[in-house]
Amino acid sequence: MKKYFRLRAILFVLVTVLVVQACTTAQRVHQGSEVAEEGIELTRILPAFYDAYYTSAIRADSVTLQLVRQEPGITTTRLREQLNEANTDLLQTGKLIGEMKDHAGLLREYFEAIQALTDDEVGEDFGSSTKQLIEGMEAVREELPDRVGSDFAAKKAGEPTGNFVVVALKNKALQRELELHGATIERELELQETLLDTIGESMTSNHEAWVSAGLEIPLFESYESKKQKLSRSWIDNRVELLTQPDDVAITEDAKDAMKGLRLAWRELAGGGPRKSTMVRLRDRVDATEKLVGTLAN
Amino acid sequence: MAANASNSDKNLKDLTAKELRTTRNEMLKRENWTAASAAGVETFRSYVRTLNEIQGAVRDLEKAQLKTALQQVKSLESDLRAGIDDLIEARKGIERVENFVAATGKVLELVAKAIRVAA
Repeated sequence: MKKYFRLRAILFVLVTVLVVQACTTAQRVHQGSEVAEEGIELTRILPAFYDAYYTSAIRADSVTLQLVRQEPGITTTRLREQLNEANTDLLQTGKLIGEMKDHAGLLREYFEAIQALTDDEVGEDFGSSTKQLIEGMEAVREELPDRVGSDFAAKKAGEPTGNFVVVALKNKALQRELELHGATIERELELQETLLDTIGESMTSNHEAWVSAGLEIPLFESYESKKQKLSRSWIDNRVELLTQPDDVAITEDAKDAMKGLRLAWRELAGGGPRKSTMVRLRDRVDATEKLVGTLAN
Repeated sequence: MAANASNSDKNLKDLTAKELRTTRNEMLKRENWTAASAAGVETFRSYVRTLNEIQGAVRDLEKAQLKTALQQVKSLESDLRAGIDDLIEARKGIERVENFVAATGKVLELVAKAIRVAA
């Protein structure tokens, strides 16, 4: 009798340890899925962000050329050369932007693969399959002439055991991936962060150039010129000048989102991201997503 | 005009992208542009030419920065691809185990039925 209670106590401890272990493992896999989801979202926004940068560069360049065109005595040939030169430069930049977008697509694929592994749908039938297996074993055992013991516990444990096994397999694969390529991804996110910083600085500056030379100078020149009546477009330009979005904040959001993703990734590799890290990351990604549309216009 | 003068001693090639952009934007400011255009033909011509050179340097430098960044991220692409392949393989592995377990369960049920019939 004493032995029986001792055995039950040991079993209880074992089951408790297993349940705790299962919960921790499941949580980590779920966190992996969450980080991947934000990674997918952010890398999906990146091409639009690159496009917005490219557009801002073309705008700043165009308004500058528009003023440069006023050089006293400049020849038509020289003007053509200047425009051709600028176009060639910008087309080359556009090509690089295209390659950056392709790369962002690859990074997105990586996060999609992480999500495909850690997603709840993967192995969702594993529990029922295990149950089926155990029931099959029980069915065979029942048909044997000298069967012993009760089948109740085994049947009941089938599904949770299967679920635990699938989570453990996912966790093992995730852990292996983090060990193999975790540092590379962190480096990648670090480079993306630096790039967004550089692009952000440029966009802010391009925006200033656009506002000064593209909106303010023509607006004042038209207004101060009493020879001609102000056109309808003058009013539109004035509206545009006075309703410009806050580009600085937008680029800061994108950079912060990438930094947040890098931090969450690092914490995932170290056991699991903190709740505050994930909340901040989600917040930054959402803010970037909302504002990137405004930026592209 | 002020920004232009402050960088006039420096060769354009020595300026960073940030310095170049700041100089450009100073030159594009309405008050500086208006002052330059009113300062006489030669001054204005020189102002406009400098602005054009600066804008050309901005384009070159930004292109170079992008190129460097692209090279850096591209150097990680083979690892990224390997990671994607590993993850896909791991997912397939789980699905294979799942299918195997399900199939074995079915086989065992059939075995049980066969034993019952034989008995």
